[in-house]
Amino acid sequence: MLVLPHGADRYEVKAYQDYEEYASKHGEAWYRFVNQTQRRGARNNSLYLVTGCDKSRSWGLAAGSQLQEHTVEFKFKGGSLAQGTVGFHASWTTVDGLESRKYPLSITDTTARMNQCVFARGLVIGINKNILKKGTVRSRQVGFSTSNSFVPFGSPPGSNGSPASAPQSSPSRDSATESSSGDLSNQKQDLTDVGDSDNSSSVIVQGFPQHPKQVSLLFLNEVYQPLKSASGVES
Amino acid sequence: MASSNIYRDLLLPQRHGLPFWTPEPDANLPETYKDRGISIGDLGLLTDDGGFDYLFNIHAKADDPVNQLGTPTDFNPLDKSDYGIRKIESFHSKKCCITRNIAKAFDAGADVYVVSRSSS
Repeated sequence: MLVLPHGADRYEVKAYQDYEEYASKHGEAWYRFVNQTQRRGARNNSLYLVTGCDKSRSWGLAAGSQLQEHTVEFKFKGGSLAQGTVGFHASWTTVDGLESRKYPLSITDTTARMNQCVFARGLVIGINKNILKKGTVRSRQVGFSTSNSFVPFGSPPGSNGSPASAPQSSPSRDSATESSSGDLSNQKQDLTDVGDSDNSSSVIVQGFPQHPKQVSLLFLNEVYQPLKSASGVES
Repeated sequence: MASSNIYRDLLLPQRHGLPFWTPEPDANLPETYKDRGISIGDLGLLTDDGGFDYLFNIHAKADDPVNQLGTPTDFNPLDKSDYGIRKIESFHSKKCCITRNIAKAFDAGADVYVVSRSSS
């Protein structure tokens, strides 16, 4: 659960396709930068470009794996919002098997900055060396809970500190479909071939979680028809 | 299963986005970055502890303070206008509680939240 004592603002890019194109164009260079220049040992599909975020100035969160019904208590005392800074006291009741975090950490901490990102929406950027041709393919689902054994651009396999996935195993790519990945199933993806004819790698850019789409509340698929008299009649 | 993973799997179906177990900016990053935290245009690595390992911002120039950790060679920022971003203030209202599988969630007065839920 997530509690937002002061609420949160939402930010979302409009020109979503600009970000998709930009990430497709530069994804390979970014992995090279991360793993060759910065030596991060980044796993495939761990690179993430933020296209939307929910920002808050305080939060309390908790999750656990306990089996029986339980009650969680979260208490907070806010300071003066009007003065721009907020003293905040938060405490969770301790429940066995429950882990919790909070911000700010104590009542002596004050915060006026909306710099806490409780939710993000964005693009997962990956490299697929199996794709030999340009075009649209049905891509696999993106998972977060399983590691991906493919490490692009010469990062040492099993290197410590790799983000996104612990190097405990190297499951097949298909196992990545097990995690909760929202609406990504069978999503068509545009691939941009970034290499020359020798280089068969491609950048795969996938929205995660799915970008909020425009909706139409009308059930009739009527196409707007301008009146014929709109042009050529006057004067 | 780590609590950060449980948290992510519980809140993903709420369709607000990828929930971070660590919403706060990396305490070791420059102040100019910590002032704003994770923002649109940030490129980083998703970490297995439920966080975001910031690299650089695609909208800022290479010599911008938020890009002082380094950018790729031939880095060319993506243009962005203030009107290119939709902003909804208090999208999540004050004192809101986002959760799943709850039997009841209520403000018990005196700023106390009580959340009961069955197994996860």
